[in-house]
Amino acid sequence: MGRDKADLMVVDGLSMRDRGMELLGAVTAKSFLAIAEDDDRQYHHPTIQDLRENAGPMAGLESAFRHSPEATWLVTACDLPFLTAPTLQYLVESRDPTSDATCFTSRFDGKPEPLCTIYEPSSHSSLERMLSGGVRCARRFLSSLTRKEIELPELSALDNCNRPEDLEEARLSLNHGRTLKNVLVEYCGVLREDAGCASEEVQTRSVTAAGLWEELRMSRRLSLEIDSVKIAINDEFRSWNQPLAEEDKVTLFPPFAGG
Amino acid sequence: MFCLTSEPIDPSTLRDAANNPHAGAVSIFEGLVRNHHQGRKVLRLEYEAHGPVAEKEGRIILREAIEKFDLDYAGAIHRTGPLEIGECAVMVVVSAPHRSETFDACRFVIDEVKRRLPIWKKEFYPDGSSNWVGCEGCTGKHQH
Repeated sequence: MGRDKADLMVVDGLSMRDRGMELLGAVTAKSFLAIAEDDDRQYHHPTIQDLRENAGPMAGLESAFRHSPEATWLVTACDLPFLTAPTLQYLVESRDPTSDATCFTSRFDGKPEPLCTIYEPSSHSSLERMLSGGVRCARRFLSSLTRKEIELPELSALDNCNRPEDLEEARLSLNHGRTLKNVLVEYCGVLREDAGCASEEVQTRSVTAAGLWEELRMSRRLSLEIDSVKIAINDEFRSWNQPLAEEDKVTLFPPFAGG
Repeated sequence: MFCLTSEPIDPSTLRDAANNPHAGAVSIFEGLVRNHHQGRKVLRLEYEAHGPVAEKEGRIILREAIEKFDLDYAGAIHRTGPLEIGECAVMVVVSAPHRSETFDACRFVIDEVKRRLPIWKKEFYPDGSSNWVGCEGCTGKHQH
């Protein structure tokens, strides 16, 4: 969905972009919207334009450091519908100015999360060096820094949304809250081999089956894309937008190949 | 009648179930395990099925066929587990007053079985490797 998902997705009555700016504004002295080098739209937020094209979030941080080299920058993505003020506040309170960065550990793979992160001025030189060296992966950049890593106070605060199913998951969970549910997950065919088991009990805060898929895809390293997978809930075919209930049995089907 | 079985399919049992004094025609489709797939030599197969959903959906397909083609009988059976080359993997039997409907219905049933039933096929090759059929092109890229 690209950058425009920041417009599409409405959370708490605000676009994700406006909501993100509001959250940042509460914990920073001044906040800016990082925009692409060819973005000529008008925004009602102060903007900092990328200086190079197709460099992703690293380009945004580069422009921010060029704008104010002495500043410490807190960077967040626009596609984090579950990010809350308390989580950001916790990040700010946990800040270690003697490290290059302060960041959360991903709940999915235990690696540092680059897009809800405090970058100190000391990280500027390695940023420029890595960009010149062709590195475009913000996570790789962050992994190269000295950093203080902290656990997420709210487990799903950094779950992002890249697909329509994720938006529905986000919309429902913000309206109905994310309660902890126990579900039985069954894996079939290649997914059973990926997961290393035919079934397991899973605790999830996801509201819909799509949210659960996203959790499992990452944590169990499932090899398929959601488009090629079908699901049954309690032995009935269902759509990904189906809300999950306590004790549901969720079966994940790879592409069928009978006959 | 739809069922899954891990035992070899006995063609006569299903064929006899199609006997009906109202029926003037019986058509049978048998899907066999062949020794090649997309130019690659295949040694043997393994079928995996999700029993509860496959049997429920299989019965729905047969009911649809009976209504759509005005059949006297529709039955299908699908193997699970390891199969050798030449074995029968799936069998469809239908009967109706006239032959035309039975040909069309047989094709409808096997096409829907392949499209709608949660059944998976793993092929084993001479070089010791194996592959889940249908999953080759949909391997996902993990995002960061």
